[in-house]
Amino acid sequence: MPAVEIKNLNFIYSKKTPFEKRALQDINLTVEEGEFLGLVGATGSGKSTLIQHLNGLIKLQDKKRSSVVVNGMSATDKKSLKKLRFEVGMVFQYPEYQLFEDTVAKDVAFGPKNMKLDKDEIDARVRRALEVVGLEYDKFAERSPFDLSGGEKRRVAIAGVIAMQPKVLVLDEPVAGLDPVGREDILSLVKKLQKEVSPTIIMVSHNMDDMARLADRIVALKDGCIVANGTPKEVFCDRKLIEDAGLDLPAATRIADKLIARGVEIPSDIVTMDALSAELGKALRSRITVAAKANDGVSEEDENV
Amino acid sequence: MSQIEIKGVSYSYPVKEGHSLKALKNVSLAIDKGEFVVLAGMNGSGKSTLAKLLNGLFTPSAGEIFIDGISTADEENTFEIRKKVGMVFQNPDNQTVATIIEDDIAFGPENIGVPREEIVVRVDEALEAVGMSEYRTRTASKLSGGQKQRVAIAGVLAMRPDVLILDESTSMLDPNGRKEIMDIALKLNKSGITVINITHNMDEATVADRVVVMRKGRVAMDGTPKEVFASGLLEACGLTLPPVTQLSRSLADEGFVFGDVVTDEDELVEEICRQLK
Repeated sequence: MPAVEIKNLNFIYSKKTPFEKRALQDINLTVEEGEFLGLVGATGSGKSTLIQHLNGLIKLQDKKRSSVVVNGMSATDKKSLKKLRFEVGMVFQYPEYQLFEDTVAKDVAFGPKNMKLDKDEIDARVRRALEVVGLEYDKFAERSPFDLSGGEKRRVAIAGVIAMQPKVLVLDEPVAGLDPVGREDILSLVKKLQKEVSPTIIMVSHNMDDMARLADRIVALKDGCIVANGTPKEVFCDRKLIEDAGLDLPAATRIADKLIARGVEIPSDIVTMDALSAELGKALRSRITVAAKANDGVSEEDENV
Repeated sequence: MSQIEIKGVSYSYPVKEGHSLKALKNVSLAIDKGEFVVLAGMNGSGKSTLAKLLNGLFTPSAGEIFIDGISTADEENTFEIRKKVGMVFQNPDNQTVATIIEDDIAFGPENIGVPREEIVVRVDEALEAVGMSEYRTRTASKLSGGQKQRVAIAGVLAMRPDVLILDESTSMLDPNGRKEIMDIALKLNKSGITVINITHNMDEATVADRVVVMRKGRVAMDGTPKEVFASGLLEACGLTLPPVTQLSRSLADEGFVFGDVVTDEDELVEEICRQLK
């Protein structure tokens, strides 16, 4: 059973008014359990509208034709909606703006409390969630979330979501506004969460370098339609598609293209800096070997003379 | 004398009774007219506090700041300082005051009593400078993030500032929006406006004349982008090298030799081609 199955999804904002805007058009998308899906697209391409359908924050407009099913539960079924919201964890942009309680522990406990769990289970989950995001329970539990640094606040907000132990974790630009060290911390946290808490990850990002590095599969949206769906290599190697979708290439791919245009012999499907660096290393060593052989030839000839 | 003189400035935020958080500690800097300075540092390093001190939103707890020789500490100068130093913040939605774009841009000059005819000229010029003339009668809420930030910059330009401060103005934008804002900042700088860009995006630092790195409320480094990237101290300040420089470092491990710090993509491509010939 796939983790997420979306069929024929359409959505129109301000329907039947002069401001009518089609945000999603015939979206069909399946996400398998254990996948790390990267969702990319220019501003206004429909990414946020799409993810808000996953836990019923936006209702289906055409229930007859379209469906959104997460772990076998339909997002249209009112009875299962509450359960669905525990199943799909949503980490919105700047999630720290949603912190509201007077202590970290109470804030993280908000979700589990709504799940009507018993007190011991709630406490255990809060403790575990804080430890997983790298905040020592004894040090942080009783502090006010508003006295923490930006990166810490974001961790608390993420802990509040994963305390519900969602099977699918959706993150909308989780590193926006963080400094480089904070960015790396949160990105490696997302990878860790996939291993330890939520096996299926759907992450929205504008950073193609991060996407190339982290995602198993990339889905690109443009004007509400899926225009690409494949591995980072498949998607980023289709240069025309990337350009049409208004996306950036990963820096590594862009640099590789320039080098290939100049006659450097490296593969055309490089998407990460590590791969580019390794390939260029190979090219350099083979050049040195060739040069060495040529030199050997020359010295032998010299001796003959 | 420099256009901006920061002399031994400290600043503390009151936290609770009797407690305060020292955000800036004895900072001294001089910035000349026409410079393009990137102010970098990790979250909480004091860079935004410094920006807010530059246009008198805060006044120093100790030390003094002079803009064109005028002290920011004297409340009588506040209006004069704010005319000289314009600021664009992170979230474009927090900076729009009127529904129609031209009204929004006219808000600043109206407040300082600029005559109507002159306001019309200023609004025209400001919209022109950010490439938003065709949007003048539209509503700000229907714009993209990058366009909203351009309108915010226009609102500042209508005040005819000498200094433009961008306080993480690109951090909420997508790559296209980021590029739009950087292009405009560079263009305005060429026309003579001093630009101070606060960011932790090191790609933005590569185009600056000068990079000032803050760490724990102090100036940790101050130099050209190449000097700062070559220092090896960037990571200790919570920052990373720009992707191109990082790549050149890992290529050096593979056996490539680079004489100078590489910050420019085309320069790197050139150098790799040369060494593979």
